[in-house]
Amino acid sequence: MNNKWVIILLVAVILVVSFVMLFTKVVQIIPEKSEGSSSSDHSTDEILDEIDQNLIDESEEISIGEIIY
Amino acid sequence: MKMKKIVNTWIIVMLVLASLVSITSADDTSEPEQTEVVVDEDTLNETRIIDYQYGAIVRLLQLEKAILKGIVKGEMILSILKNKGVNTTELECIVSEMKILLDEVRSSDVNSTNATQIFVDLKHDAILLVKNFRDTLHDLLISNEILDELKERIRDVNTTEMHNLTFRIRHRIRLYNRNQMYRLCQMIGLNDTGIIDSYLNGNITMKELKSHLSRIMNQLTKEKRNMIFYEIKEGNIKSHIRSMQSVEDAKKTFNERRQHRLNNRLRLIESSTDIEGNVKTRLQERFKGEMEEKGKGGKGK
Repeated sequence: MNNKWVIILLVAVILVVSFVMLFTKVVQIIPEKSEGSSSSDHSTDEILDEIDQNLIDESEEISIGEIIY
Repeated sequence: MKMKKIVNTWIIVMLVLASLVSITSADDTSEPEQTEVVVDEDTLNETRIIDYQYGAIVRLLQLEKAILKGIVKGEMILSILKNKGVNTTELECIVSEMKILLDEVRSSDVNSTNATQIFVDLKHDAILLVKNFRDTLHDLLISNEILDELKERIRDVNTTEMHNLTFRIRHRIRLYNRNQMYRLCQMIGLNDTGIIDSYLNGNITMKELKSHLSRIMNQLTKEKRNMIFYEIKEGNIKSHIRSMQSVEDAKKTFNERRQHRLNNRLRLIESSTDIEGNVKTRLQERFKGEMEEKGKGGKGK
């Protein structure tokens, strides 16, 4: 009887661990700000925030590092 | 009998656990060479716009400017060190390689379906060369006074070529941003897009354009605003996933492509008449050395 409970407990632990690992994988794929989509009413500012993610700042530069310490 | 049952159960449990671990980590272990190349967060973000029209050209022009800046600074440092009698052969090799890389960036096909791969490859090489220059300079053990002098001289470096490039980049960024805002105008049903052309011509700033569109959007119904929000959000998520996928694809055959680039550069150096004799010999040695090293690494896998 005791052994049966140990096995049930082990299986439960394995399921929880695997669920957490799978959940972590899924979370990595979802973009950072996706939590905003749960809201039902979106303001103009939120729309512009989303648009901002695709805009480029005119003064933006690419960094390849400094040539000297 | 009971003991045998427990042992069997344990074996099954361990097998289940092992298979679960292998499933969840399959992406990381199936192709070991993928883990060798690390694409930093900045590069990942930069690749997000490459799929859009003008996105690739903006990124490659920005990379061109960054490399050009490195070359100009590098040449200034070389000139100062040569005057002080320092042996600069290694540094000259790196600057020569940066020039070859600059030509590659300039001649890359911005309309290619592999634009993300091209950008990731060339930016990787640029970062590596700048790091090599920095480390080589450090190894020369020059005094702090000279180092301070070098830093001071290269601080606000700007050439006509860099200045012109800045204008070209700004114009392409405006074309790119114009397209993004045009999409928004279509969504909100704004037919008169003259205001966007005003931004393109530099008559108004992006802030003013956004403020104008914000006033129009405030007059829309909540339902319409929600619809616009979700449409843009969906597009953003899709583009994010697409760029992540493109970067993952770019990682796959990275070493082979690097080997191929080194081969091309070596051929270019061998046929070049512009590079000085000792620098040329040293460059050939460097390339052959790295190619041999990569070849050994490839065979080992």
